[in-house]
Amino acid sequence: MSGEESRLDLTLKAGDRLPSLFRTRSSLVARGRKDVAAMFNDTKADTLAETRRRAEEGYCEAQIELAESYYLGKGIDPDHSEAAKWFRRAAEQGHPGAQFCLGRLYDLGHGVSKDQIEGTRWLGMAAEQGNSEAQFNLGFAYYVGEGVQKDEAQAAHWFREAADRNNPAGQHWLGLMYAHGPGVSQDRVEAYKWLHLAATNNRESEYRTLSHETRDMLGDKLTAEQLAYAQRMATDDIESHRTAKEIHEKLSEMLRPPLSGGSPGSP
Amino acid sequence: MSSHLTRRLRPEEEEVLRKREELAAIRATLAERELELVDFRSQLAAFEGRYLRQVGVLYAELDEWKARISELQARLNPSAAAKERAHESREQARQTYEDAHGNASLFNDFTPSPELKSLFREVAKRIHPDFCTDSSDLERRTRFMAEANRAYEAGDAEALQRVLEEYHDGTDAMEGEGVGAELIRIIRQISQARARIAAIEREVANLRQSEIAQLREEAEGKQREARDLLAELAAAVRERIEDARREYEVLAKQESNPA
Repeated sequence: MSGEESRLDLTLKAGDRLPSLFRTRSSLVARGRKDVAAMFNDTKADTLAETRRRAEEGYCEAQIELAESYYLGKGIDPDHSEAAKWFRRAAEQGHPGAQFCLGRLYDLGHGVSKDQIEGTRWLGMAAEQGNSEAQFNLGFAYYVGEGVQKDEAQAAHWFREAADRNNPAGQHWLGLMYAHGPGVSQDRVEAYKWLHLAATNNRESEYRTLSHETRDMLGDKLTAEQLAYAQRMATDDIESHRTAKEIHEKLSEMLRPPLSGGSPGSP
Repeated sequence: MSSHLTRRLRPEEEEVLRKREELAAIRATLAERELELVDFRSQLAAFEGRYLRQVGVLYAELDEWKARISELQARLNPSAAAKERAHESREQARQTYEDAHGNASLFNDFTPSPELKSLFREVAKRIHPDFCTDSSDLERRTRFMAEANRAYEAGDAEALQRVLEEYHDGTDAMEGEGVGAELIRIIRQISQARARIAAIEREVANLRQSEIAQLREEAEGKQREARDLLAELAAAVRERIEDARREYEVLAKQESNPA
């Protein structure tokens, strides 16, 4: 750039090459940046197309993202059967989060015909891989006998697996089981411990208040009345069962699984 | 045995040796920073040149159509406000044209060879203005350093070599008397070098905040997704030019066939 000047012109010219970085043209550059920002806000559809392309290439993460977009209607019309289709693609590649979601869609009959046996089968696969949401849901299926033979010992087993992974619902239900017995031997100290963990769990949870209340009732000053409440909670009291089920449904509606380790696999 | 006969360095002489080493190290660091700065500026300038050629000229074209439209509108519906608008948009078009077609648009991509880089390092170590000892020296060094920057940015190794040859370094010759004077000079040079390094870091930070650096970063982000930001932006501006051109034609028809 300076070559055309005299061979060795040593007059000081401050920042020969620079002025444009600081002066007028910066407004022309700013204009480009503004248009760029506008362009890329307008192209959400492009992003979705890109996600779909990657999903079709077999990337788990993209498949799950696409499934969630369909399920929740994010940037696209909600379509539960498309959601189920893409969760299935990722689930068949062995992604535990997708297996959990697909299992729940079967349980709820969203986008597929309701089939609790099929639902529990997928939950089981995810649970075996250590997905704590699936472990809790599987435990609950055993607890109430939905899609599997009612089996409290199995319920306690899966609640514990979930509870050990810091899942608040698992902790709450394991606490309740210790409070009344079936499935595990009754142990109020253990019950108090798990309820306390659930009540103080940092994860966003519908159970926090409920666990808190139940735990306090189990505390040192355990009166006959409070014990009766704890037992009522845990036995097949229809009222409390329905409440718990509602909570369970609500929790499961929060279909966001931990999205980890997606990789391209066989499409 | 011979080691017993070697004259032992006095403590102040030892200190001078240590400080010389420190100075050499800091000169090397500074030369490196100086190189990074000039490289960064050159890259930004090159990117800006590319931006102006690919996109800037299109904005100039767009503004030209807009100016023609508002001038036509002012003729079709004359009013003081319309005249004012026409005047403003003509002025905007002129400004954009100047910006887009100015010198900055000429800067090309710049990939200095390793030889050029190490030559620049040598020059920077030798003639850096911050190693001056008095103010006349400062001015001289500053001029040489500016020329070195120019030569480097132009990729002109010969010019850089000439700078190195024509520059006679005065400071390595002892000016003050004795070890004490040298120690003081070295300490000052170290502190000047540190200050310059800090100044370069501030300058780089400021450059990073500039619009062009931000745009370049965005373009690099897109490049990682195998996309070309400038090309996409250019396509978007072209569409707007097309719209403006059509709008102008519609208005021009109105002018030639008044209803």
